[in-house]
Amino acid sequence: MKKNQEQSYEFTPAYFESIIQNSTDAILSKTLDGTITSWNKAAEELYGYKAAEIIGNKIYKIIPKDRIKEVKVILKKIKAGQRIARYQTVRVAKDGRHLQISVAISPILNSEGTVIGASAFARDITFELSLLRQQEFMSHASIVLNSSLNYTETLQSVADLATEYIADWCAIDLLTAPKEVELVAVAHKDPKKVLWARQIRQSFPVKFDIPTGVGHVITTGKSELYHHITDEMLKQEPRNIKNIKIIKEIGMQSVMIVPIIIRKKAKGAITFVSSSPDNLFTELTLSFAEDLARLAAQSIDNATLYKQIKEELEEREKVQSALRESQNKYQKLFDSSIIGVVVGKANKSIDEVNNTFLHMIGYTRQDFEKGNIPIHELTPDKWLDGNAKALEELRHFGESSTWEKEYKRKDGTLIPVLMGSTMIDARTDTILTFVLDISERKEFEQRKDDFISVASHELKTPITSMKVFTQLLAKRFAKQEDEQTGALIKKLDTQLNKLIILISDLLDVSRIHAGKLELRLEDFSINELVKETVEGLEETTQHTMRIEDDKNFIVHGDRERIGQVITNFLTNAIKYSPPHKDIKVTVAGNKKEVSVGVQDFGMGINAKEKDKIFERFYQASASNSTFPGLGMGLYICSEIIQRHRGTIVVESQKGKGSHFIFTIPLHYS
Amino acid sequence: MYSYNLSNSNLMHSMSNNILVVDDDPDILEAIKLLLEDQGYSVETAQNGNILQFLDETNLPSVIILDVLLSGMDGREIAEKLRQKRETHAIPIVMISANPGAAEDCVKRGANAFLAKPFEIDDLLNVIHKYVPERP
Repeated sequence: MKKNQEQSYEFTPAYFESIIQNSTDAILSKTLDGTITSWNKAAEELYGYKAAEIIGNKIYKIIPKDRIKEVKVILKKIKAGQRIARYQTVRVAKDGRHLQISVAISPILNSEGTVIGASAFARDITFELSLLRQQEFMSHASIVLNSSLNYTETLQSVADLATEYIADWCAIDLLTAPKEVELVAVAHKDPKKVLWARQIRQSFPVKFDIPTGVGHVITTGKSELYHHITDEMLKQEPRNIKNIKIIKEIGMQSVMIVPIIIRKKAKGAITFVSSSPDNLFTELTLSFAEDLARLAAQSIDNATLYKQIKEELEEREKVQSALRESQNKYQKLFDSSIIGVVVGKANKSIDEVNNTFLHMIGYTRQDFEKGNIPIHELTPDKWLDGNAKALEELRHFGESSTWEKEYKRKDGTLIPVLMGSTMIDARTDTILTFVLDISERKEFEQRKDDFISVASHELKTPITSMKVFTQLLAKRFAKQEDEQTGALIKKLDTQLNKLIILISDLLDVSRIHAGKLELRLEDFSINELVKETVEGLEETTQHTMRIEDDKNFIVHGDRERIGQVITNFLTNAIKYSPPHKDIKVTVAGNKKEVSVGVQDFGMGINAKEKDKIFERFYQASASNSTFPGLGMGLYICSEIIQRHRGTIVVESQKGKGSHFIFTIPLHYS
Repeated sequence: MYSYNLSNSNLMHSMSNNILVVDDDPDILEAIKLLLEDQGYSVETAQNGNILQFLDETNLPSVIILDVLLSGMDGREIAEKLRQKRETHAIPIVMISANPGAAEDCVKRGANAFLAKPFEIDDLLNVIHKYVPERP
C-alpha cells in the first residue's frame, strides 16, 4: 500500500490544481492591476460569483467602496515583494452581503523572480466573529442583569446591548395579567427610532389568538425564529396589508422571539429584529437569545423575589412600628400619674399594675412583685356586688360601665375609687381596669351633704319654736273666740308647714345623693296608711277624696317614706286640680305586689314632660308659674319607690288630669 | 334665766304635773314652756343635761322632754343614764330631734316617745297627756 501511495506522488499542474480547487479557503489570484486571474470553488461559494463570470474582472468588484484604498495599498506592497499576513477585513458578495473574512495575500513570482500578481487565501469568519460578539454580548448582558434589582431598568439596558451586538432593534414584553402584556423595554440601533419603534408596536398589539408572534411564544413557551423574512412570507402574514407595508418600511429581514421563562412559566418574551441582510439570525443566534432570555428571567425572578421580601419586610416593619407606637401609647397611659391601671384575671390574679395604683392601695412594687397583694381582700365585702356586676357586663359587652367602690388599703383604711374596665382577652378573663381616686370628690360631696344636713338642722330649730309660738297663739285666740285672727294664724301655720316640707325635701335629696336614704323596714297595712294620709289632708282642702280598695295589703317597707310618697301624690293632686273636684285613691294588688294610685281631674301633664317629671329638680314648665316649687318632691318619691324595688309611673293627658301610680313588692328584700 | 335652778327644786316635788324640758335652744325652751303652762302644767327648763345628776326622790319631774342634740352632750346618753339610775328609771322621757332618723335609736336607748322637730303642738300634748293627766 505504502509503495503504491509513494508511486502516485507526481507533482503535476493537475496535482496543484486539485489542492487549490478543493481547499476550504477561497483562493483567487489577480494581476498587479487587480484583474482576477483565478477563482476556486470555495471562492465561488464565498462570494457567489462563478469563476467563469468573475475571471477577467477587477478585484474591486468584491471590495466595499470604503476599502478600495486598502486594496491599493496591499497591491503596492505585493509589487514590492512583500507578503500580507492574515488579517480581518470585509468583502462584498454577489448578492451585496458584506462578508467578514480573514485573508492572507502573497505575491506570485515568475520564473525570473519578478512579481507578476497576487494570490489571496480568504475564509469566511462571519460565524467566528458573531460568536465572539455574541459571547461578548452575553458577558456584558450578564453583568448588566446582575447589576440592579430594578428589572425594568435592567431589561432596558439588555435591549440596548442587544441592539449594539445582535439586532437592530429589540423589544421586551412582560405579562401583566393572563393574555395581557406590557412593553417594558424597546431599543433601536438608531436612538432616534426608539419612539418610532414604540409606535410600530402600538400598530401591532400583541395577540394571543394567532399562531405566531409574541403572544404565541408566551402561550407555548417556545422560541420562534424567522431567519429571513421574504415578501412571500409577508403575503401570508395573517394581519392586514397596511401592516405588511409597515414591515417593509421597517426593513424586517430576520426576526426571533424567545420566551422569558420564570419558574417553568413563560412570563414574557424578547423580540429581536434585524433589518440587515448581512445579519440574519440563525439557530446559533437563537440559542444565544435563549440564553439571554434565561438570564433575564433569572434577573426578573430575583428582582421579584427581592421586591416581595422587601415588601414583606417593609410590611413587617410597618406593623412593628405601629405596634411600637401603640405600645408606646399604652406605656404612657400606663405610666399615668393620675389614673391607676391594673391588668389582671378576674378574681384570680393581678398581672400588671402602675405605680399610681400601687400608691392608691398603699402597697409597694416590692409587695406586688413578691405576690404580697391580697387580691381577695382588696375589695371590702360591701362592694363585691359591684365587682360581680361589672364582670358580668365585661363578659357580655367587653366593657363595663363605670362604677364606684372602695379599696381596702394596706393600712386598713378605705379609699373611694371610680372604676372602668375593658376585657382584653375573654378566653383568659384578662381585664384592663382604670382606677381613679375620688377621695377628694367624695370628701367634697360629704362636706356638701354635711352642710345641707347642718343647714337643714339649723333651719329647723327656729322653725320649731315658730311652730310652737304660732300654734300657741292660735290656741289663745281660739280661747278668746277671736276667729278672724285665729284664721290668720292658721294661714301662718300652713306656710310654716310648707317651709318644713321644703327643708325636709332638701335634706332627703342630699341623703339620696349621698346614698344615705335609710329605710326603716316594718310590716304595715298600706290601706291604713292610705286612709290616715287621706284623712290628714282632707281637712286642708275642698277636694273630695275617695279611696277605692277591696283587700288589705300588708307591706314590708318604710312606712313613713311610703306615707311621704302618698302625701306627695295627694298634695300634687290638690295643687294641680281645681277645688271641689274629685281625687280618686286606689289600692290594688296581688300576692306579690301592691299598687297605690292617685288620680286627679285637673290640668294634666304634657307627654313631653311626663318622662322628665321624676328627674331631680325638674318642675313642669320652669317658666310657668302655675307649677311652683323646687321639683324635689317627685324625685324623692321616685327614689323612695326605687329603694323599695318598685316602679313609679304617671298616666296623664293635658287638660284631663293625671294618674300617679306606684307599685312595690309586698316583701322588700 | 331658763336654766334649771337648784334653789327652785323645792317647788318641784310638791307638783305631780311638773315637766322638765331640756333643749340647748332657749327659744324652743321658752315656746314649749309657754305652751305647757297654758295647758296648766308646771314647767322647768334646762339648756344642758347637768341638772339631771341632781335629780332625786325630792324633785322628780313627771315627764322629761329631752332634745337629742345638746351642745356638748348627746340626749340619748342622758336617757340611758336616767334609765340606769334607780330614782329616775321610771320617769317617762319624750325625746325630740330635728333628725327624724334618730327615732329608732332614741327609743332603743330609753325614750318612751319620739317627736321630730318641728312638731305639731297637738302631737306633743297628746304624748304628754299619756303620762301626765291634764290639770283640771
